[in-house]
Amino acid sequence: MKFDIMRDRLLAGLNDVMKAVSSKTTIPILTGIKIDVTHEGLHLTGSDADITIQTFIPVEENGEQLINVSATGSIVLQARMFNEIVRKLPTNDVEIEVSAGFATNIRSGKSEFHLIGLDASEYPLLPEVAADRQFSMPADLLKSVIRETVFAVATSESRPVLTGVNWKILDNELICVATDSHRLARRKIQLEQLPAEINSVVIPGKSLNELNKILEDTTDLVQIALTNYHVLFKTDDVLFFSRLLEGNYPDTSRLIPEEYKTNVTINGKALLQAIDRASLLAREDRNNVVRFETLENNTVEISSNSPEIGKVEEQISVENLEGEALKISFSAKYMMEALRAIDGQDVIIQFTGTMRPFILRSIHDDAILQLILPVRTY
Amino acid sequence: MAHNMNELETLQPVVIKQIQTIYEKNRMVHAYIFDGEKGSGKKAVMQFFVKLLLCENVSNNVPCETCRNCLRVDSGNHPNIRQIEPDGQFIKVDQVRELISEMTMTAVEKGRKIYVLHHADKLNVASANTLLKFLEEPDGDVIAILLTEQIQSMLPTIRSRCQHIKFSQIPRQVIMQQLVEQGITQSMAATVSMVANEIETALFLAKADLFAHARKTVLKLIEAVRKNVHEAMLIVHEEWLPSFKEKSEMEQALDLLLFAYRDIVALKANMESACTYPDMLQTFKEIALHTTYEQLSNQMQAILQARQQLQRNMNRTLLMEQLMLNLQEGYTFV
Repeated sequence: MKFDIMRDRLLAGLNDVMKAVSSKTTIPILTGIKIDVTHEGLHLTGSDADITIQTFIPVEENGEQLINVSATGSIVLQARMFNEIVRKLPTNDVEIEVSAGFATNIRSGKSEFHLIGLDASEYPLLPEVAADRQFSMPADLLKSVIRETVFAVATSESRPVLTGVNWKILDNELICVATDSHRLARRKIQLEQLPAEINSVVIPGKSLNELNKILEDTTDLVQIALTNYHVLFKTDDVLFFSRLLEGNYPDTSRLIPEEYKTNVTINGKALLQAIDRASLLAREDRNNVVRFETLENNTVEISSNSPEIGKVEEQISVENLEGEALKISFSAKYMMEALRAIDGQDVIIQFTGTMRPFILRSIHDDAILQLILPVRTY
Repeated sequence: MAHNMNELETLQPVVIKQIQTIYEKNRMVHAYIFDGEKGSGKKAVMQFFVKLLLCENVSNNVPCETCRNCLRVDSGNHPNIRQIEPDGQFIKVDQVRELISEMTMTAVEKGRKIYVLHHADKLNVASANTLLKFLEEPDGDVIAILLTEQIQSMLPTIRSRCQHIKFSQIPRQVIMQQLVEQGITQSMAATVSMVANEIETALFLAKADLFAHARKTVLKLIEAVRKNVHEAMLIVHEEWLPSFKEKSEMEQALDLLLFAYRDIVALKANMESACTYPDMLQTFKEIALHTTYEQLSNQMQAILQARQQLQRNMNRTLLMEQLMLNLQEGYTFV
């Protein structure tokens, strides 16, 4: 294997795949980056077993020659070392040559490195993805979907399947649900050309967070392919694979109440700030609980009381208040996270009683829905 | 660790046959315990089993050793296999949590996922209990292999959830004979063959000065214990404690002590052939005459207890003093 490449392009590619390489892997080969050279171009692959990132650098782009391939082949090189070396090479032309026994020479200008490589056949195989199970959505939409759901995944391992976000396709709608069994976040997206044969997958929250970091906030389409074992997100030149979580995701549709007894329409920002203030006192107490009470004349009261520190009360006027009077307590943290996820101005909060879960959604539709379980305080 | 098929079959014929039958009839369960002494080839058999499970072209229930998967099992690069070694003294609960979160994800490559716990007896109570639920009902196609030298110190709840594969010991007579052939004295060969179940380790020990010294100290202590507690205390302070500074040395010395009492019990039951210390036959017979089975059992219990407490980092001096008093107990009514 032998090729010449522009250093800045190689570095840009390495930057992407390095995000997947973890220093504390137990599988020795995964400390490396796999380099595949074909006559079409160069593939770089990095992985920590959970996620795998692959980038592609074409031989030619916009009439400009990026890579000059003399001989094709594959090699695995120590990721950290290779990245550092490429970063510090003196000129913009890099020549990489692999001779017998995985010995690799990296030449640039007058500097020459000899690296000991690893056998590329030891590297994990990437899953094959069928073309008919793909759909696509714009990158910025995908990013907001992630932002609106992934915060609600469980952090404890007692039920591993809850550490992921459930993606389900139902009647031309993609439904993303995350819950930690105290609160739930659901996002529905209308998409075209959704594959019919996939019913439900659970994508690890950690992988989605990583993906969110890599995606750029553009309207470029991201191809998404789901298989029984993997999910693939594909942008122009970056492929992002993630493993899925095994096990059945609990049926969450029944958790969402059908009828509501109290409906409150309120300015989301005002409520968020009021709860933030109230939680200043509540936070000191272990459970971070605030109280919410409906009053006369379209006002509600947010209060918090911790006996050793003091108490806070604040009244907010609401747009609309109908139904039964209500006193309810809930976690300030969950409420704030839910309000932040619903970005809009006005939100509707719908209650079915002091001891029943309540939901938050934007006034326009129920594309974003947040459900929170109240806390018993007496 | 490169064992070929023939070596494995001579080392553990029954186990290999058992594993091949499991594979052939496709009767895999989700968890196995490989239980056998040090040197009984557990790791080699584990590798054989893992290769059998992952190999792309198995013929005659033997993995091919040349396909991608076999090669990667050997080099430790197969992404579907996760191996856990004790981190220090124990397999810690964080290691188990990480393992579970790793194993609840779908396999990296096609095929089943396998996890191996080395020294599974070193799971502490918290980790064992964390593992339990996952061990019993893993999500997906997961196989657990637990290797241990001391199955009795594993939680019964763990044991009951695994299929137990017992590795046979290499017969002691065989090792003794080989040692004698190498020029080791009969009595030394008898002792080391009890400690090590493998010819190389046994030979190394038999030639080591430290081990000879340990053996001598232990025998001296036994005689002293018989006489009176003051003498025993003196030996503990002057010889035992200075000689056995490391925990592993102390462990070995306590084992040697235990074997001595085992000898005495054996002699009381008239089984002369199985002695650990043939050179002490006379003394031991005398001790055997003067003690009851119950006393001996109490004494052995005391040594086992001391050994456990050593694991928990009890103060060595106090530990030995307590042991001496407990051993003495056996003689109070004589």
